[in-house]
Amino acid sequence: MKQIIKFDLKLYFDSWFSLLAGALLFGAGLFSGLNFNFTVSEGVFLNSPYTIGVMTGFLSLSLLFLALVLGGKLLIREWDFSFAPLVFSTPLSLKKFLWGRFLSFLILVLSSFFVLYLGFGLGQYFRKGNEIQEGIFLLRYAYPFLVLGAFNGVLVCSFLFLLALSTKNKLHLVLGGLLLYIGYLIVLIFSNSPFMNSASPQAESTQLIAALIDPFGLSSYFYQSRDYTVGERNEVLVGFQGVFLINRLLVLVLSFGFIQTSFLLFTPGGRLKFSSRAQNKFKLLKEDYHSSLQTIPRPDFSLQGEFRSVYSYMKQDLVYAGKSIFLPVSVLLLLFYHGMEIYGQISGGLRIPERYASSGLVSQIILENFYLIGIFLFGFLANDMYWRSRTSGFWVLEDTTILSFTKHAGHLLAVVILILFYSGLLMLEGVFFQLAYGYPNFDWGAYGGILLFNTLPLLLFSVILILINRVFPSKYSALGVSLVTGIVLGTPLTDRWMDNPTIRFLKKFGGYWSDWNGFDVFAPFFFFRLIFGGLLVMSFWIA
Amino acid sequence: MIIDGLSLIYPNGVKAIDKMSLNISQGIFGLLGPNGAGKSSLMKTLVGLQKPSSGQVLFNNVDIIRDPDHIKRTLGYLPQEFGVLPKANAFQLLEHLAILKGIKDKSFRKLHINYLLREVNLDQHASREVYTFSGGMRQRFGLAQALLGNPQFIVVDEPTAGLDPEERNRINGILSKIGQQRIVLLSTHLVEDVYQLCAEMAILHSGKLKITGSPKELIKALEGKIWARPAASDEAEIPDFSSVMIRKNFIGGESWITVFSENRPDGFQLQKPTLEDFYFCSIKNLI
Repeated sequence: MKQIIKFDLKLYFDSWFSLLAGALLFGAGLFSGLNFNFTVSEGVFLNSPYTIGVMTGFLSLSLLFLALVLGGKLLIREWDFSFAPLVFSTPLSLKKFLWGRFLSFLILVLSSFFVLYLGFGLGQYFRKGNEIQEGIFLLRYAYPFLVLGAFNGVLVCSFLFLLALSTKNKLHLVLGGLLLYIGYLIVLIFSNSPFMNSASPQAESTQLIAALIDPFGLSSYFYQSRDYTVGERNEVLVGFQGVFLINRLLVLVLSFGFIQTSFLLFTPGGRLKFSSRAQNKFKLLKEDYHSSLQTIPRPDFSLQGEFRSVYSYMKQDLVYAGKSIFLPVSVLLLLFYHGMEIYGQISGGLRIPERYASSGLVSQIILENFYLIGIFLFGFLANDMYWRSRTSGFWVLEDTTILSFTKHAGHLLAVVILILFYSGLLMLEGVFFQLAYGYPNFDWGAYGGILLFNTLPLLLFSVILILINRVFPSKYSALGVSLVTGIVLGTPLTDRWMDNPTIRFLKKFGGYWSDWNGFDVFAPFFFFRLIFGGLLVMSFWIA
Repeated sequence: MIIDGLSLIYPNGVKAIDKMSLNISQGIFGLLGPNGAGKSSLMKTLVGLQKPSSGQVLFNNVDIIRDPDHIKRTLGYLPQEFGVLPKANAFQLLEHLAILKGIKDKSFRKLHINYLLREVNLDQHASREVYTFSGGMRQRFGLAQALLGNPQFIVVDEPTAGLDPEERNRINGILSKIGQQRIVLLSTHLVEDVYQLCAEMAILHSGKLKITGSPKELIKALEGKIWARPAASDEAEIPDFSSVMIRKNFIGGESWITVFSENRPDGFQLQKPTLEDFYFCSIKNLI
């Protein structure tokens, strides 16, 4: 077991990438320590024992993301790289291997969280102002790290451990982890958790139930300290007793249950790769076999053949995207993110009655958020699709065919279809919210704005992306240039580089929808500018 | 195909192909040589994956270095190493490559792919993702894709690597059948395969063409010059300077030494020469 832990940890701690990731985590922690404000009540300091506990609880949600990234690489490594037969043919006992793997996973996740937390603590230490108590308070940080961070770490790691070992599938692991996070936030919303904006006060019985079952322990932390005075909140640690203690012990029992279940479900063999039914799907008929022997294919290198090749490249890209982890995860996160934004705006409207779940409201939210996310999303997607053949080694087969020159157009078409797919999904989400809130007055002009101000510039950007990937000699240099280009052309930064507004054809739309005037004169002028951009980009493509 | 003065020098100065000239006509043409001899470099150059430093390659009187599309219209290529696109099954990948080779009719494409899958004994695995294939299955998939579109010039680099004897025979059978009507350039480490399949062959060493000819004729030159005797397992050198050891091998666990000599060395028995003997003599500059 010790050997497994040592080997796993060495692989991670010895790499420069881990050092870089550690620096980024520390930086993120430092930033949140310096800037993160959380007012629990008047007169309670930001670095009081109580507030640090709440913030630690908040930060501990990041454990899930840290564990997903680390677990995706570590937990099913043996099966991903066909190393399992070698490992499990050694005298190593299965139980020792599993415990070793779980502990190394836990150590890695908690170490990463510790680096983030260290940055957070230092950030608070360097912070000045009335909201901060001066001094060094190590115990105030160490205690919540243990009772919230470490316990939540054990829970998250054991849950993901179970998912990974029972499915041996990265996609299931990531989706399961994200669903846990999304499910948790949805439960918080609908249980009126004090965590959430605009929550109504909870009933005493609801508070108790939430305190007992909250897997991340925040509700029990609130419950245990609900009668604390301002003075106590500034000086006293929330005791490890009562409902808080019960909740933490329940979390430990649950985690142990996850670990034991994963031991029971685990088999060292590989994952099931194909079904017996699928095997026979393409069984050749005897008469087909004989007729094909006598037929010689006539190749077609005409324009029609080229179109067919473009379609084939696109189909391969879309099959890959549809089966890969990236598409479902990105769809889930995108819908969740926009859903939370739309929900927040509509809930905000409850106190301001003129704000209904109108088409204008939801499309405005999508317009404000989707474009920049899309620039990054499609920057990655286009790069991944373009270089997939090269990185997998399939290019030696593809590039010796006569019609392989059509690949650029094929990849472009695939990205275009995905942009339309994501745009369509977001519009459907908007429609769903309108129906769910009983406001079925659809203004398609507002939804059309998403196509005009987000989808069309993203389509134009996709052409630029393919051109960049075509010109640059390596995957990572092309990715870097793609993202920088997106930031420079798509964000307000573009104003610094380009004086002429016509050239800023990829700049994020900054106008607003009005129920009276729609997008007004912005729409036609934006469209004219896009036509100019389109002609410019197409001339580069042809050249 | 006429290869004339072909050279390939990598940026680090290594001469992968050194002024090679060779004529290849219809049938299976075997390429033998140790690792690093330049076989794969030659093949990659012929299929247009890399440009030579100098020289000319004429295929049906067209210089394919200047016009690589000319060969791509009728090329089937099985490289020594290749990857596959993840998440795509064997049928999907073959269909994709068939389209890129210009096979237009959908129903015919399906028939043609199924026929090839049957030929390489993968028809039961058509809907399985290729990246889950074993090494031997992947190799057979590679051959199927090389044969897509009925190509007239087929380049196969180690086609039987990793295959069991039955599959090796099957693949050799396919190569033999297709080699009757077109040019097949076969690179392999299995000397026996070259002997059985190829009408013509060449031996490459350090990027240079050592010798070319028909396997049977080449072997003839060694008649009466190959001698062998059992040897102690730790016996490495032959003290007799009139003969040169060409190989040491094992037969039924017993160690044997084979030497090349004009006259019979003491204790040695005359052997019927094989292509493997010729290969060793050639790369040791004995002939």
